[in-house]
Amino acid sequence: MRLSVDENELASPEELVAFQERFLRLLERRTAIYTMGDSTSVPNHVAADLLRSICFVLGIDPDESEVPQRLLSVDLEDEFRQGLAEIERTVERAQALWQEVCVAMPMFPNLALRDTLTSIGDFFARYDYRSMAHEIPCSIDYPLCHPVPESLSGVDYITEYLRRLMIEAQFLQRFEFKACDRVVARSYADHIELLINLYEPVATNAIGLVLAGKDPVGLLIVDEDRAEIARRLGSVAEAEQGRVIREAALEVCDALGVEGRGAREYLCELAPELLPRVAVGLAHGGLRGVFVG
Amino acid sequence: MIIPFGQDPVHMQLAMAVSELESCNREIERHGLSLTTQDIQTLVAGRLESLEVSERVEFGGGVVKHIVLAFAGSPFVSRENLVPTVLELQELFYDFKNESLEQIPDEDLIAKMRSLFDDPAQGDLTFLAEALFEGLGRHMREEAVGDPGAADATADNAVMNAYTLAAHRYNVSDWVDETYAPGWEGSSWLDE
Repeated sequence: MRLSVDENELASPEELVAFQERFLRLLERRTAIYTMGDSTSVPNHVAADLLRSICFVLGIDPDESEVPQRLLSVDLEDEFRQGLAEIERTVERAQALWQEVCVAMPMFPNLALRDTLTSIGDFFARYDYRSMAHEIPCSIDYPLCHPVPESLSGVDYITEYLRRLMIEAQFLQRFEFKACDRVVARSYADHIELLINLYEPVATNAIGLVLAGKDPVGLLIVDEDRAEIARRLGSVAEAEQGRVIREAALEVCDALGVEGRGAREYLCELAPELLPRVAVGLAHGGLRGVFVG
Repeated sequence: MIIPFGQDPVHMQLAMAVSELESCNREIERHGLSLTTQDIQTLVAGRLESLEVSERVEFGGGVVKHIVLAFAGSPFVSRENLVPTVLELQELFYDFKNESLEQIPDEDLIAKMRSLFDDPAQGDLTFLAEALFEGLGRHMREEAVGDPGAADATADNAVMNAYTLAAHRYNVSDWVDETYAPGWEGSSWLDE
């Protein structure tokens, strides 16, 4: 197995052997802690999970053969302890963020949203970061407008999920609840039980109103607005439509007072997703399926 | 997933196992037993094979030394049958660790195996295996499924954290059916 150090530089054989020995001792010790000293052996899948957990704490990607340079010259046990301490702090921050999201999110009657927020609350009690730091012991059914990358795991995944959910919640807060509820209800056949994202149709309508030259806060789009949107987007080349939609998204942010860079970028990322839907709508005589009313 | 190990860690563990078994001779000599270099190589190779078959990973020298020391004093272990007996006990040990859902400490399991081996198994390894699996294994599975306070039976046991494991430790002595006897080979009520 090749053990490469950052920048694709190969470790020397001596560095490889030394690292393997230290890593093996760390794995042995963590396994003993996991079994509380009661067992010298564990099932393969437990060992694999403990290995993944150690890699998560140390910042090693177990699916790659690269090891951060710093790990070759440090006490791995000490590094691991520091990693655990950092994860503990991350968990505390994530829990605080979860509480903020619960307060910020408007009370839409969507079961997936409710159950997901509840389940994430249980995550903090179930998360065994000492032995299974890579795990995500909760059910996350509510789909974000822009999903969290699968490459994240453990509390990092939860933190990023909550960060994005907070962006969505704070955006939805800027509209009247009834207006949002109407848009969502007209976007989906069953907006209570289906696994649907609430931010996307609201953000889409807000962008549509700006494209129609109107204030986005009302969220109500009528046929005249769709006609104006079609005229505006139809008057530019397809390659330019993405830029026009993105600029409209930034105008929405300005109009609603969305100042955070992350939140502004989050809305702008809707542009490439809207493009194909708009193209189909323009080609087939209407944007009613894109900008609901 | 790439596990960052080469062959060296395996050799390290083999060396440790050999060293630990060599150190056993001082204690088992008083029972008239001893392990030659060939015996030790056979036991170490058997350990690797048993771990592979039972799909387990073991660190350090492993449990084989403890099995040798625990069973050396049995009246049913002799110089001639020491190695094959330990090999089979080792295999049984790992299989039972899987069967018991990791809920029995090594030390307790070895002690109970020794106790059953002497009486009622009288040195019969097949009897010992049946007594362990039929009796204790069933009881452990029933408890794991039926106890509302137990971990979710459908959950992967690998994610049971140390606290959950501690909450479900069992006293092995409470569960082994010491009245176990092999099934009668004649007809049963099912035949009627």
